[in-house]
Amino acid sequence: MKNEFIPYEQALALKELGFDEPCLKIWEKTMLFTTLVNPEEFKRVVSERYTKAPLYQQAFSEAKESVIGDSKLIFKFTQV
Amino acid sequence: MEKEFITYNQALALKELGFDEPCFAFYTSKKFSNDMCLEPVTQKYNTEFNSHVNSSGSLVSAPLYQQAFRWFREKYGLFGYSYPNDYQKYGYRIVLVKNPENQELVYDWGTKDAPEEAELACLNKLIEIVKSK
Repeated sequence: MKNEFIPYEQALALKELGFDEPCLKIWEKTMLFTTLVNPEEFKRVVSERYTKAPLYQQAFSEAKESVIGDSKLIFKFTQV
Repeated sequence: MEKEFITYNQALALKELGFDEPCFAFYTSKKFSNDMCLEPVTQKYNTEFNSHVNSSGSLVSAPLYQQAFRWFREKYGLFGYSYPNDYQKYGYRIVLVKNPENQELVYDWGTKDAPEEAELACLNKLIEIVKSK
């Protein structure tokens, strides 16, 4: 199931870009927590030491929403 | 996190089509009700149960959207995806890929207001296509 999550380096990059959605798991450096994290508990355990582990679909969704925020940009993009 | 998982009806359809992969959650009926609710797979269930929820009669595995789309890609060569169209809406496409040189556009339609709606509709269409085979 580890392959459902983006790698640590990408998770770190998303964190730096402001990704802050609830996730099923978290990275502690390069180790993915094997125990499922209850989304409610998640906010409590997240700290500088941890990085949220977004699913691929969450990461792509975040990217879409960022672009869609500027609708002119996305529709200009599709017309190219 | 519920929005990360496909709907109960979609999950049931995938179970009927033979989907049986490990998932992070499953659907089960609420107590004293016929309504279905999403339950996380936790450590109280053993590994075998985690991997084969769908072999159990009353429970239904709840795949993530990415798991469901991957399953259709790998099992049937059907690639489903959403895209912004020229009408400031979101369409979805299904492409049958037999090999890189042999691709067939199976479906291209949809005027949904949000990408999530298009993805949901795309998955419904994938289920419909495979069921009709």
